[in-house]
Amino acid sequence: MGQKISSTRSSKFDYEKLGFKAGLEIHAQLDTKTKLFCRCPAQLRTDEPHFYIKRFFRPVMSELGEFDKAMLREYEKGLTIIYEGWNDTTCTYELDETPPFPPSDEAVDIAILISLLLNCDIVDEIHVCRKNYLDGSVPCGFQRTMLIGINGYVPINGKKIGIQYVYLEEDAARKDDEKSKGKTIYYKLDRLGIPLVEIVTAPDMRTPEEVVEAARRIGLLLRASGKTRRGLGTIRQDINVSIEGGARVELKGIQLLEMIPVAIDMEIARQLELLKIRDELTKRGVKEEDLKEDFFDVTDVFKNTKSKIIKRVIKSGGKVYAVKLKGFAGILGWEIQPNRRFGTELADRVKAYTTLRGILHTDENLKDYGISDEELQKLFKIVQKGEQDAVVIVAGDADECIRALRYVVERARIAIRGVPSETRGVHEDGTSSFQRELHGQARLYPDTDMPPIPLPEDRIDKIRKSLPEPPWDRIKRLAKEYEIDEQFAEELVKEGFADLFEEVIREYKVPSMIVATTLLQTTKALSRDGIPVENLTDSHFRKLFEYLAMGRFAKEAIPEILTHWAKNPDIPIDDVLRMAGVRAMSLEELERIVDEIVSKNIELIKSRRERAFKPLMGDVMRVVRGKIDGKTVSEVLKRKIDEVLKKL
Amino acid sequence: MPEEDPLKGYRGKARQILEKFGVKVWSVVEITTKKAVLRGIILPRYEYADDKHITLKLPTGYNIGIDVAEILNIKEIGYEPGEYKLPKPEVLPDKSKPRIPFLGCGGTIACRLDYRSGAVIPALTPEELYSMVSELVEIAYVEPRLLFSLLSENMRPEYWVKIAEEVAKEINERGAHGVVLAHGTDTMSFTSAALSFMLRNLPVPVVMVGSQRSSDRPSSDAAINLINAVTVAAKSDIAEVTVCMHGTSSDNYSLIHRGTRVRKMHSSRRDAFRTIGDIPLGMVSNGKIIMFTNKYRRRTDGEVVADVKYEPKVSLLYSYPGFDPEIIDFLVDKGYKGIVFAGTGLGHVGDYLFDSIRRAIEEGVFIVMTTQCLWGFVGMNVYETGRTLLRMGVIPGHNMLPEVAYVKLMWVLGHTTNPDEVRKLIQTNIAGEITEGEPYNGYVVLQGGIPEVDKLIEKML
Repeated sequence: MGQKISSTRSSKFDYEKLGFKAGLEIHAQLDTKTKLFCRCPAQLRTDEPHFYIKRFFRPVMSELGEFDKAMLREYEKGLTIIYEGWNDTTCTYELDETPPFPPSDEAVDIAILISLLLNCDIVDEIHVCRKNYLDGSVPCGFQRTMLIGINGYVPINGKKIGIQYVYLEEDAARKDDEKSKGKTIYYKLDRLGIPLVEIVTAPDMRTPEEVVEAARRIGLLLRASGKTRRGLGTIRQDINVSIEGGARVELKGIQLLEMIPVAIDMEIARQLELLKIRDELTKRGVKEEDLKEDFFDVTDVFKNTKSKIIKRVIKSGGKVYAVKLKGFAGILGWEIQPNRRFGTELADRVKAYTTLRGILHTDENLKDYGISDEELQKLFKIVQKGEQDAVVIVAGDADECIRALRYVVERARIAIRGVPSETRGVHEDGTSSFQRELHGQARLYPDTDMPPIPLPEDRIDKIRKSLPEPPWDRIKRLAKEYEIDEQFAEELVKEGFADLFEEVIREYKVPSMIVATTLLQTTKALSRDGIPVENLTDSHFRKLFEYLAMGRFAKEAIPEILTHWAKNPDIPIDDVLRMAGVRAMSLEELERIVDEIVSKNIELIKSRRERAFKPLMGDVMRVVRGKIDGKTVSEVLKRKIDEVLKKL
Repeated sequence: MPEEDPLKGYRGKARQILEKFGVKVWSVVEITTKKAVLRGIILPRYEYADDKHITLKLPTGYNIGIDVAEILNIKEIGYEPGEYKLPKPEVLPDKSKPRIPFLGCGGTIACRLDYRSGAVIPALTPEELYSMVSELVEIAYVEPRLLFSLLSENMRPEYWVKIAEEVAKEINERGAHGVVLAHGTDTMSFTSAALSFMLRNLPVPVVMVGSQRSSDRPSSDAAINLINAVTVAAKSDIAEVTVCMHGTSSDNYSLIHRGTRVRKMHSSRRDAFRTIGDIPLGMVSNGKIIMFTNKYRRRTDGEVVADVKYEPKVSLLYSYPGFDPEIIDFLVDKGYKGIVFAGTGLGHVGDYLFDSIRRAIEEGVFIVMTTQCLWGFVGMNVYETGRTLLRMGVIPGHNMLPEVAYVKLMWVLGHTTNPDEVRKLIQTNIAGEITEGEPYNGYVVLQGGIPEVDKLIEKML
């Protein structure tokens, strides 16, 4: 995944001179028994849903008689939302049919613990707030969220990175990409309501390396709490980046820490290019009012077109629309990130806000799309394209085309001002595309369903007394005490396996390297092969090592056992061993051992007959214990004794 | 806005400290505590919260409570009182469309949100209505007017009179094509029953509507309910009082319920309103009305008569094991004229109440029996208890819903106290409150868990 980053990355930019500032927002799912505002299990489903519920969302009018812009954007998409629910794990709260239940005490305590680990003050009284979302990801149209910790810090290399806020909130529903199509979006309600902490740092980081280190440290602290969920997507980090003259941009979806510097540099490059574009447009004297919302229905121009894309649209009753961007010739083709041009920025907005899949424009070779010169000439005449102008074409449902072109013009106007503040999704190569405009705070308001919750000092003190050792200290101790690499030790802490690791070694005396390798490398390898290792809990691993210690199987069998267990997490280990065909000893081998012991004790059998079984069973078990189950041993031994007796 | 307490919601110590530092609600402040310095706006305090904390809105929009004991200083650096503005709607009412007065009787079907305090503000001006539900323009010329702002539970019989008279005025004097009433959902079915009796000779639809998720929430059912209710008022020929609310948990269709057979059957679900003991009159979605029956009153050209006389001294009692007969004695002593029982099963009360009931009837109190089962008829000839009650003079209420029988008895006693007339009127169907029988599909309470039922529910979008 992603491109390899060499550890000796040479800085591309002079970050200080650029006025680079970055902050982090880190989300982590909490490992609680129930969801935050209802008592449904915090558990993801893989089976087909039991029922579907259809909903539409509308923006809410504020006291000022206004609608939030971001909400209007969502509303204009005209989405139909369908929720997928399960009778046994979805309740009417999650369907927005019942008021919330008080927040889970367990989750609140974990959020307090994490806040304390981050050296925060804990608020005296919690006020649950609502944050509006109109995309359907939360059935009530708002996420319930509460501020728990303020004014903390995390130390990195002698510097304190401020922790402004620690929030506790409910996770959103999971979008079902397989079922979603066009304007109908499906969401699974299983993830909805799983408690999340959101940690917001101050914009204190001045280099990409500081961002990586802060993210690493906060991630470690979260894992050190022992109360966050493991697995991909359970910790998500967003980075807020800005440079002097540019704008604050939120980069979302960076999975790997190593990708952070790449994504940051790509964003800086993008902002610098956008600033150059602004300067170029200023030089050309292009004004915002020059960019008019004059949209032309040019379907007729293409009625005999050879362009497959356009032909398909017209055939299915769609339209082709065009708009002129005055003074934008060459701008749309301007590269702002590798393989991404200013035209891509326009297309991104169209894709984000409409059901159209993109745009065509005059800074690309339109002949590649099967558009002829003749068609172009007709088109240019209609829109009165001048030499310095660019033209954007969209095709699809007429209303959608007009909406799309409105977004195109709006984005082009912003280019004259510079860089827009927005949220962008980062791709695997570090480039990014537009997701939405940054929300204003207006979307936040008190939750009138929930009275304030005081946090008395003794509740906080109790948690303070149970704080785990700082993860960086623990890494050093683990490495030394168990003679493993520091990198291994760090990974154990990071992946939340450290407690289990220590416990297993203490209880079962399994060699530390085997435990570490199993927990870290084996699971990862299996996960790569598509094995659902997220089904494996601490108790699975505990049992695994207990049996390993008993000699019930060789360590080489671990991957095979985990594979079967991950697929059938609810069955006992003995069944798993049978499925995996794992025995430390073959039947033949057992028979050989039994034969040997029987032949040594013929006299005993002669004198005690069947009663010889008991002492002999003891002798056999001394040799085979743990390698094969007792029931098989007793069957074989009985048979062998019988054979001897028959011959007598 | 009316003059409000500048320290709204604050009591005791919290109030003292705000007074001490001379700050009030909506003050922009800098609060120094033993731990930190915090900036924000002081918000009104939730009225049932303790007196040990100040509620502060931080610049991020989040609220927190600050322990009064931790506060060292509060400095006022500004004051930002609430500002309320009317929106500028993009669409304006189309006066060529049928005129539908939209009368506000409370509830949260039309309201907006104060983002800062979380308060919900009634929004019944045309500007607000057309900004929030612009689809109405296509259906009718909806004319909103606020009769009163009431929480549903504060509804009283005298308001039924006011509503009935206002509806009559709209129809008779201003020629309304239909009327829509916004109402809180808690007591909506009482009002719908009352209007069903009070609005005699109704020539046009009167449709009641509310919302189970108030319109200050993006997921609100208000807009769809309102659109559907206006559709019924504008396009249907049902000249009755009906309730038009969500039919399922999905935003799919609304059901049209007869005002005397409808009941709120869930405290919070969107599809709380159900027709009991019968099928709904019909359904409506996306501008289309589908009728399930032809047994309803059609539009006419006549004038409505607001026949609003009623007797307030009527009570509704729920029968249960351990019911104290003194409750009946008390009502009689207090001069009550009528009692409706929601009896058990076929219409029973314990025999330990017989003496009190006998005395009540002897003193001229009318007693009507209904069933707390809600579905089904009372059958007072089946068991000895029922027969005894009948002999005492208890009037069987057939399959009237207890609440409807309560409203009806008030209305009947407002017109006559002649025992024979009362008995006859109570047992005569006046507004669909008594049906001649119960259709087989009039009782459908599906039970989850049964495979067939779960299959059905899976597909019920």
